[in-house]
Amino acid sequence: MKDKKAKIFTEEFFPQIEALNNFAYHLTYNQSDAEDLVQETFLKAYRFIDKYDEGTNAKAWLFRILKNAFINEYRKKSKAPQAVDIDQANLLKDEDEKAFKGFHDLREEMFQNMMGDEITNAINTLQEDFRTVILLCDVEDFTYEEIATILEIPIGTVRSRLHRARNLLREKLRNYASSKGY
Amino acid sequence: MIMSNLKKKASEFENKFISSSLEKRLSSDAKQELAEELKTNPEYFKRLENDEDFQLFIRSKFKRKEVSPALVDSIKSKIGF
Repeated sequence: MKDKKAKIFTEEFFPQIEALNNFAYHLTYNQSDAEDLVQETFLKAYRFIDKYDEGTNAKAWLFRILKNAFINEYRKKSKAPQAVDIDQANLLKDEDEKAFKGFHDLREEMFQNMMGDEITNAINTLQEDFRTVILLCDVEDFTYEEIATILEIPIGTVRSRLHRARNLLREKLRNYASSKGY
Repeated sequence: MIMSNLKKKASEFENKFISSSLEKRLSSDAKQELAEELKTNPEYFKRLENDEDFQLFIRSKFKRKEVSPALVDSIKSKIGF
């Protein structure tokens, strides 16, 4: 049994540590807290490994554990409930209906000249719900279905949240680029 | 009535192809069907292209955090590996 656990950890779980650490950092904004969260995730994975089917989707399984640990433990400890940014949420509330028209074209030169830090900082300024879907979909390449499972929300919500998040991010990047004279 | 039917058709198309394509769940037959449909629907093509461009842009620019070897060692020691 121990050999089986070691095999799963070595071959399936540890290869995900960089992605988990990255996600944890962008949830907590603090490297030490992120490392605690990643550590907690691996300890929980060890404790509940019987619930994991070997050779399936380790990355999505671990991300779900991390997200729940963040909600149940980290956020409770920090005593900072997630505030809903009404302005941000309302800004594009009608977009679901006109999804075909709300393109987020980032091929313009002013975007291409941006550095990684600027993009990363802009993502960090998004409200948590929007930041999370961008990280899961655009950074970690999860499918909509996987994101729905990780976040425990309907797939339609993933789709509309991602659409809003991308448009918010585009606006932030556009404003930033304009302020820098790109 | 005509507008309503067009909207319904657009929504069905969105669910059947665009979303599935972005979810990387299209069968090869459906991929072929999508390719044919996109030739006649430039707006869908632009939507798909923009979503893919957005992903590529973010992924190529995003700065990832490095994992400290101490974190890996600490986890291994706590789970007894």
